Amino acid sequence: MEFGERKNAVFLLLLLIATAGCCQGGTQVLAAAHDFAIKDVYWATPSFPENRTLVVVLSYCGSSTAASLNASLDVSQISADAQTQAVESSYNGTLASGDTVYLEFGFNVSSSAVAGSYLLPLRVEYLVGNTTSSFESSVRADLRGSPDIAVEPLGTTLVKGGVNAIQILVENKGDGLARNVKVAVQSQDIYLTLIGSNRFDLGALQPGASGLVTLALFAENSIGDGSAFSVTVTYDGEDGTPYTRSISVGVKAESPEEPRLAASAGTTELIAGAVNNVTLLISNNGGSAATDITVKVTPVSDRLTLIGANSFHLGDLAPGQSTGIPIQLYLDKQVYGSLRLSVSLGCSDWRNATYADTVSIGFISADPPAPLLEVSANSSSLSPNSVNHVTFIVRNIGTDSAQNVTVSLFSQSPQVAVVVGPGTSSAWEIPANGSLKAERGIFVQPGVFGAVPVYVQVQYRDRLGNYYSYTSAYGFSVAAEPEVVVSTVSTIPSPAFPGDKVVRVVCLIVNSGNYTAENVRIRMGGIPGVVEPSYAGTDRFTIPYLQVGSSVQIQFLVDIAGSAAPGYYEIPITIETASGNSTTSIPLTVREKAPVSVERIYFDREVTPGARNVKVFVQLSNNGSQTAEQLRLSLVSGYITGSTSTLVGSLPGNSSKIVMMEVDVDQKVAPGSLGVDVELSWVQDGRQLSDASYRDLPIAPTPGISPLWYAAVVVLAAILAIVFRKRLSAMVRRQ
Amino acid sequence: MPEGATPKVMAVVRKELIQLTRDPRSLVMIALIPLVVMLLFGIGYGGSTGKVGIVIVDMDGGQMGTALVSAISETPTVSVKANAHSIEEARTMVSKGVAPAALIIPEGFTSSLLSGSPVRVLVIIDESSPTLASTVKDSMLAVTYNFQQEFARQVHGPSVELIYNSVYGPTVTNLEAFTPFVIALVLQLVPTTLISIAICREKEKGTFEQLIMSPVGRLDIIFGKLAAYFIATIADMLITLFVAINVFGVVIRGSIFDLLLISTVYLLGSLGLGMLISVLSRNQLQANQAAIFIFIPFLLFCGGLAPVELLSPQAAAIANVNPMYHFIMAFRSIMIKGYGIPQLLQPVAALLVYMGAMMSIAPAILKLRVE
Repeated sequence: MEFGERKNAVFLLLLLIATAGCCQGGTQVLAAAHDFAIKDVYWATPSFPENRTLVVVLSYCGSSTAASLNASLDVSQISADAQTQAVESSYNGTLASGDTVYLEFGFNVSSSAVAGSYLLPLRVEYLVGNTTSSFESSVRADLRGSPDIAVEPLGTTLVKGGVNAIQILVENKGDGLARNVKVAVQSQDIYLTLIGSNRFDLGALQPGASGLVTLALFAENSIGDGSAFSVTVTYDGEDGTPYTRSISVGVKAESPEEPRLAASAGTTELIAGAVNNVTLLISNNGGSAATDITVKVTPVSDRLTLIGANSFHLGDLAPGQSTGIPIQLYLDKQVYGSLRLSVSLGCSDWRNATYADTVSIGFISADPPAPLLEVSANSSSLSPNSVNHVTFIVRNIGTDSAQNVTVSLFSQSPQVAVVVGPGTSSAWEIPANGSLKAERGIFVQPGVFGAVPVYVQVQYRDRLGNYYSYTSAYGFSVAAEPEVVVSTVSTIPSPAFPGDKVVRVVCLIVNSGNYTAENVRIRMGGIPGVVEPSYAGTDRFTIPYLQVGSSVQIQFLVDIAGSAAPGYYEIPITIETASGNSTTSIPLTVREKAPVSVERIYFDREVTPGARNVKVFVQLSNNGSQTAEQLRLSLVSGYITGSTSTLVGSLPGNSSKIVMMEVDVDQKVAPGSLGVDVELSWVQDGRQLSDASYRDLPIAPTPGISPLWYAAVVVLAAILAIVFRKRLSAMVRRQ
Repeated sequence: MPEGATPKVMAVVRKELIQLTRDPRSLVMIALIPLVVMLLFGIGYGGSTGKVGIVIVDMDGGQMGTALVSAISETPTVSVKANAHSIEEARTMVSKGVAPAALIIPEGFTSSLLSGSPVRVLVIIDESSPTLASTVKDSMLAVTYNFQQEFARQVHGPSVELIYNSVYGPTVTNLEAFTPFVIALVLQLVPTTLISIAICREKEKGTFEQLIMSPVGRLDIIFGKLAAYFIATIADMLITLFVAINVFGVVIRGSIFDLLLISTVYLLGSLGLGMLISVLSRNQLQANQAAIFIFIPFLLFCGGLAPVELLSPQAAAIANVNPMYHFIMAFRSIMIKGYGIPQLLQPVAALLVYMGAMMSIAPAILKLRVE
């Protein structure tokens, strides 16, 4: 028997003793009989394989001899075979009191059976004499377990650049004792170093027990954001079986919080030509304390000067803290635009890492207080052809006083306006919000209207000696009165005759006043019985805008009555302007129109439809005193052709003429009367005049067949009869 | 053609040519007819053409009126024949046949054109000769067109409107214009041919000698023949005139009696001419050829085919001795213009001379031959 088996045997022996005690006390043997006592129970094959043999040693303590033992052991709790509920064993010998018998029960132990002690019911039947007796009890079968070590890191975050403590929890989660538990740690990253020993001895760990291993790991700054190290645990089982468990532990490497210094200024404007007190504000906006802070201030432009020291040592600043540094900056005069101040910042952190940064702070130059003069006048309108007294007010609307002030008034167009008298005024000083008044006379030339500019030149200095000068135009309105008149009048056609329609009376309207005329309404009045507007709206005009000296042409459309007597007429005209109404008249001469008329029109003979070469006589007369020149006569009808138009020549006053025209009459004209339009046109005083009238000419009905036809037929028949008389007689005789 | 026909035809041709060569007068006329015709045609129609003279009435007297007259003178078909002072005077001159047309430039012609106003120019045209009237109208249109083109550079858009007034119009149909010509043909060709051939036929048959031997006086024979063919021809003329008037609507403005009178004169002259031809001809063929030969210059220079005014001066000179021309002039004046004999003294006198000459020469020679 090996050491282990013996150990188990000892253990079982002790257990048997305890069982015996209990047996007596009835605690361990559930069905103790008087004849048998369980002396020992042990595994004949203490370790796997699964097919194992449990040996139960019974001691016979009966008085009579026992024989033919048949034992049955219920192994359903640990059997691998579900159908195997009990296993059998027997002994065919005889037993006397005090004899020992070994009963072997073989069966497959389930691999899922956990370690522990199992009470297996045992029943033994035997013969005592011829009587079958039985003995029932329970035997205790022990199944031993195996250790299971688990490794768990209690932290997975490292800080770069420092030593980090990581604890490893080693726990026996098995059901067997773990002996000689040893932990070995190995870094898997060259930037991760384990400080101290990498091996740890935890001894034995009972099931459920655990141990802690604390590691000191140094992560270099150059380590990546992720790293790993391995943990190897070796241990032995209770039966000396060696176990090894290795894991790799991944950790996250984080950068440490750093200090971050920032610099700003208390103002953004620097006044040129003055010392500006500026506070530099240094603040730590980082997550770590800044130590050993140094500040160096350097102006970038040579027009900006730092007065005093430019280097400062501030000590430490916790995160979120700030401190101010008062400095003085001087900006040269007349510097405009932006300027920069360079601020160099330096510090360290808790790891003694140093930091350096340079911040640029920008400024805008600002003007110093200065005077500003504004000129105004007490009036904005002037009158032409007179001296206008105007008071000019020079007001200082700046922030400082103006010195050596000179104000000059002048006009650049003397033909428009002139400043009367001296145009210059002076003052030694005009304080801020102060003013200077100067009264001057301005003469506006006649005929000027609209707007007139007067120029104001202002010159002054400020306290710093800066010189200011500007010139501006001050505009005045010049108001005057318009005067609208009719300049010329003409008529188209010219001359005008009685009966003329739509005669254009053209007028030239002129503004002879001193000011622009606006919304001028001109209305022509008629002369009853002589002149009337041709149609509504032709007797009035509105001129929206008429400048001085300019003109506009308008024309009225009028009809001259046919009954108007020749002579000279004046047509009234009303002119309405904003300044008032005026009335004038325009001349119109009506000439006498030669009264050319058709006295008589007739054919030279009786005319029938289709008549040709017909002479038409037209008697024309002029009963007036004027001569009709280039008189033309036209006969217009759809039924006559030929000479239907002719020039008659001149027809003097109180004379008449007979005109002959040759025409053909259309075949389709209806007998009765033929309507003819007689058109007359002539020239009188250079004008083409015309008149028309309607006349009827008689048309006789078409005659029937001429008697000559009948006569001709008779003659022809007679001639033929004479010629062919003999031949016809001969034909008759032959027949 | 049957076998042996060619020699027979050739024999006939040979016989006819021999017979033709045995008649020298016919041979000469056959040769002369085309030569003379072409010569006369070349003289009358192939040379320079004449211009139609018109009457000008310049009532304006200004620059533009003068320019228009100059433009008329520069045309190839119209010339200024006379000047008048009023429209009435111009109309009278056209009516009397002094000129076939008159142009009246009105007062204010220049000023109206310069002021851009349209002006009207009156043209009085004798419509009795449609060819002449048409020529004048075309010429006036061309003149005014060129005038407007010329002065368009000086005057903006000159507008010259032509107004036509007719004399003896307003329209004369072509049939009316050709009726005198047709009557002249009838009165010229028919009697000349008829009487000459008739006498020559009797001479060829020998019946003329029998007639002489009969108890009829020589003058009776002559004037009897003249009277017979006069009746026949004047009947032709009357039928022609009757059809023209009643069928085609030809208008006769003048007196029918006047027309018959001048036709009789001309017909007697034609009969005398025919008689003369018969005296000078030995046979009918010669008479026929002679009649045609003489008729051709009568036709070419009578003014019927083309107005004499449009022919060359030589042709006009020939026309003046052409009785057919005078007959057509007189007939047209009576028929279309309505003239009377007193207004036609010159053509009537020419016709009387012609008639007298023919009627005295031809019977005299014929009487001598008969005797």
